[in-house]
Amino acid sequence: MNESPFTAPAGKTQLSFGKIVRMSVASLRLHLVSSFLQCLTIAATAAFLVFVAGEIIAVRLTRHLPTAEADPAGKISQLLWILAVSLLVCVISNVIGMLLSVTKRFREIGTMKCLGAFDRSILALFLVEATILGGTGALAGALTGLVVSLASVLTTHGTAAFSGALAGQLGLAALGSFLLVTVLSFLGAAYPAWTASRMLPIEAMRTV
Amino acid sequence: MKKSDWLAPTSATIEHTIRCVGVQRHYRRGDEVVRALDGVDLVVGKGEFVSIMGPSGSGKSTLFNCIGALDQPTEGSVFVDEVDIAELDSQEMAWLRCRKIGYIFQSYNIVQVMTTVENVILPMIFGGVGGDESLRKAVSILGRVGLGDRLEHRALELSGGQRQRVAIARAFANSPAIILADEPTANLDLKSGNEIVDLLIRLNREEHVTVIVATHDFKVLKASDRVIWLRDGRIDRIQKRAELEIEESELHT
Repeated sequence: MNESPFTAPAGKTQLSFGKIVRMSVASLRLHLVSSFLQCLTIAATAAFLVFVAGEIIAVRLTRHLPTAEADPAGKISQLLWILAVSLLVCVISNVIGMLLSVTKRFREIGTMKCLGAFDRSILALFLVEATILGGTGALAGALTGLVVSLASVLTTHGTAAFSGALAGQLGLAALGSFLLVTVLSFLGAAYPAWTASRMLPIEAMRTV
Repeated sequence: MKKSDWLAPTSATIEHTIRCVGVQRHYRRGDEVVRALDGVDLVVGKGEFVSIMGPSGSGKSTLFNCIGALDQPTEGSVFVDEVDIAELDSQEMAWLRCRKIGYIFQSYNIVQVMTTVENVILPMIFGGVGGDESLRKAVSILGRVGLGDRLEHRALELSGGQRQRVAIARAFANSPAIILADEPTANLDLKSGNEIVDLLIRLNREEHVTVIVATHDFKVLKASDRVIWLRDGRIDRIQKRAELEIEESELHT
């Protein structure tokens, strides 16, 4: 007797994962310009992170070469500062970018709630969208950063600087910044999407 | 009343779809408490066409939102098919909004970036109808509201009247029992407004859906079975169609 007449016969799921991915991709394509710009910002921060990390790695690994830095320790501490600042910029810009892009769609979220979307369907849609966007940007940025770093090392120190250790450490830096930036995008979208999905529809539609 | 009571066999014979009992909605504005709704009791029968009238600030939209499970009353209860919607969890609430109620808003609220047909398919996706079936149904409904040749247009390419028709088609997508319309003609010119009203009346007759309209539009009033006049968050008076017709004939003589 506890069963409500409004219980969905399909049970707990409303949208399959495939459907969510298709809807997210469609939404990204529909917001093409803003998705692209946001992707570009994400890529830029990821690339810069890899580049700064790459400079530090290069200074450490090229000490034995004639082209080495005169003061490696000083240079590294200077670069560490830049790395810290760029990490901060990366966190702020990605989280705020995602926060804003989800927040400006509160009305859309309210509308979807009126049309019968489950809270978790809305959350899933926005998280998948953020992960695709963040992941693509971060991947493109990390690869760009890797290439630029390598090019920078090779032009400064010549081919003698190239080693397995350098390639490995640069690869790790690229992987790390890819993961970090993807997670940041995810978290930046998660907070507003979670908040909005739990709002009363009328509250969500009234904002903006 | 306990939840089990509503599902007792006796309740099956009840023919009203919406029942408001002592509904109050208070808002805080600084230290002051605004009573947007101050005790509304209302029963709406199945298939009825009801208008909610009143000056702005009388609580029309708030009542509309409370009936439609878009807002929660501070006090009192709203029953849809004799189920207290305050007792539903978020999923049951979503199901209610999806299958039982179709919403039409003053500002259309269609998803701007989607095409006409995608907008109508959206509630069907949430309702678990997918693929070709939803597409076929969306095309057929859009044909009935006169947008058969605008399937792939986006909101920016449509006029206000056309956007409101998309919203109407979307509201009917899951064949709901109740249509709620909040000032559906307020943003439209006279001609488009009249077309929208005619469409609502036609769908009310053809589909036997309950229609509740918060409105200022006299064309809507004339079509209503009952008009509920709100004042300061309370029901001022309720007029039946017969009384409205008498009033109108008095005006003309």
